[in-house]
Amino acid sequence: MTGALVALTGAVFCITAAGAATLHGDVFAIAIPLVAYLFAAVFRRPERLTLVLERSVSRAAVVQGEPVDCSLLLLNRGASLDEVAVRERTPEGVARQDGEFSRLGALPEGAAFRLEQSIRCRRGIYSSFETEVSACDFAGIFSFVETLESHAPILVRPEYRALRDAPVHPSGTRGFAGQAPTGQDGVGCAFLGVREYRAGDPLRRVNWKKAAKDERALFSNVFEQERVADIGIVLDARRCMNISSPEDSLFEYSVEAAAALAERFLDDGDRVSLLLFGGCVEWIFPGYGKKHTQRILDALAKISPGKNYALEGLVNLPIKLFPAKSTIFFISPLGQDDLGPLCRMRANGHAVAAVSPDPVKFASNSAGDSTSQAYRLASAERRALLRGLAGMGIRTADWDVRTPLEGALRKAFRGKPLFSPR
Amino acid sequence: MTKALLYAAIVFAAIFLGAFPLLLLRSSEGFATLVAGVFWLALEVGRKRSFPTLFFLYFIGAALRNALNGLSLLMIIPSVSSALVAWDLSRFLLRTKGFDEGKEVKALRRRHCVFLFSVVFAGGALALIPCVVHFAIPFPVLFVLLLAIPLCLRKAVLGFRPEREE
Repeated sequence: MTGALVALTGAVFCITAAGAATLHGDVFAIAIPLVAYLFAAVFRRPERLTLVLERSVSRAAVVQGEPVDCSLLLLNRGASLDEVAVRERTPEGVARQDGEFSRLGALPEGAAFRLEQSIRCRRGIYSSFETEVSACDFAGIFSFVETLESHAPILVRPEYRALRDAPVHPSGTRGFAGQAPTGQDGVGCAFLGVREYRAGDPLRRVNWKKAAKDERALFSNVFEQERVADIGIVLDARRCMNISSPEDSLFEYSVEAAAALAERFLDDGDRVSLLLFGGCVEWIFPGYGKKHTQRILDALAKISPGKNYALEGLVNLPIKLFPAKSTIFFISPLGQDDLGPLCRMRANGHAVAAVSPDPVKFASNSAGDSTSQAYRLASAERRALLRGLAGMGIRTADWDVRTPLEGALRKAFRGKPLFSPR
Repeated sequence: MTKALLYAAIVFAAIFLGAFPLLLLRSSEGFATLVAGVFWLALEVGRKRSFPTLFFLYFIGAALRNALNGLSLLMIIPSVSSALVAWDLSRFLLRTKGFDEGKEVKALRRRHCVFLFSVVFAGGALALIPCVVHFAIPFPVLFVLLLAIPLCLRKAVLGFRPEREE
C-alpha cells in the first residue's frame, strides 16, 4: 500500500466521518472529488505485469574496452499500462557509454519499448542483465515493481599489448618445422657454423671463401634446424596471491601477460597449453593455430582469482599434464612457498621461466608509499626470493606493471635459451 | 507546461482556501493556509524536496474547516480540486524526475494532464450538484449510503475493468 493511497483514503474517511458527525451536507461534498480520483486510479490500476524482455548484443565476444551495442526490447503482452518506468541495472564491470538506459512512458497493449545502448565491459563473462520495470496507474497510487532478467552472454577477452618477438628460445622442440632454434644442423635459416664438405652436400651450401683459403678441402655452411616447441603457461589465480585496489587488480596484469605470451608463441607456430590454477584447475590442451589462440583467450576471459582449500599450495600443481621437456612459463606475483614446487618442476626436466608482476611496487603505487620501512623490507624480501629462483636456474622477469611487459621480458631473458640446447 | 500547471494549482488552492476565508470570514487560519501555499510553491519552484502529501492534507483540512465555518461550496470545491491537481502533479513530476525529456515523456505528460483534468472536472462537477439541487437525506439513509457506496464502487470497478483471458 503506497503512502498516497493511505493519505487519500484517510482524507476521504476523515471527511466522511466529520460530515456524519456534524450532519453538514457541504462537508460530504468535499470528499466527492477525492473519491472520483480514487475511483479513476482503481479503475486504471495495473492488475499484473505481463511483460517480455528480450536483449540482443552486436557481438558476443569482444576485447576489453571495445564497445558493445545492446538492444533491449520490452513488450507488453497484457493490458494497457498508464505509466511504465524501465531502469537498466548495469552489472559490476560494465560501464555505460552511450544510449538509453532508462525510459518512461505509457505502454499500450501489444506495444513495446526499444532501448538502444552502448556499453564497455571489463574482462569477464556477462551472461545475464537485470532490468527494473515499475508500472502504475495514472495517479501513481497502485504500483508494481518487477526485476526482469535478460540473457545475452558477452564474453570479454583480456586486452594486452602484443609482443614483437618471442622472449626466449624454448629448449625442448618437436619434430615439425617451426621457429624455435634447436641447436642441431639441418634445414633452417639461421647460420650455425661451417664443417668439412661431405659427399651429397648441395653446392649452394659450399663456403667458397673458406675453401679458397684452404686448398686441400671444401667446407659447407651449416644451418640450424628450427622446430616447433612445447610451451606451457601456468597462470596463478590463487586469491591469496592477488592484490587489488579499488581501481585495479594485480591479477589483471598476470592475465595480460598470459595472453600476450600465448599469442606470441602460437603466432610462431609453437604448441601452447594453458593451466589455470586458482579456485579450480582448468587445463587447455596443447594446440596450435588461431582457433587455439581464441580458445586460450576465452579461458583467460572467464578466469577470476579464487580459493581452493584442497589445492591451496603449488605443491598440488599438476605438472605432469605438460608434455615432457616443455618450456613452462609460470605467471604469478610469487610467494616464499612457491620456491619448492618450482624447483620440483625444474627437476622434472622442464625449462621453467617465471613472469612476476611485482606486488610490492603495485601495492606501493596504490598506497602512494615508496619510502617507508615496510616497503623497503618487502622489496628486500622479494629480491631475496628472486635470487633464490635464479639460484635454481629459473629466470624471472620481474615486471613493474607500470612499464610494458616486453621490456621486462627482454631484460630478463635477452633472447637467450633457458637451457643450453642439447 | 506541467510545472506551470502545478504552480497555478498551488496558487489557486492557496487563494481560495487562504485569501478568501481571510477576507470573507475574517479567519486567521486563512493566513496560515496562505503561508503554507507560499511555502509549498517555493519548495516546488526551488526543486527541493517537497512534501506534497503533507501540504495536500493540510489544504484538505483547511477546506474542511472552511466548510464547517460556512464558506460556500462554490469556493471550496474548486480549491479542493486544485489542491488535488497540485498534489498529483507534484508526485507525477517526482516520478518522472531522472528520465530523459524524450518524445515519450512529453506524450505521457500531456496524456496525464488530460486524464487528470477530466477526472478532477468530473469529480468537481459531481460535488457541485448540491449547490444546484437541494435535497435532504435522513441520517439512517445516509449511514446506509455510506456503507453501500464503497461496495458499489468496488463492484463497479471489478465490472468495468477489461479483464484479459488467460
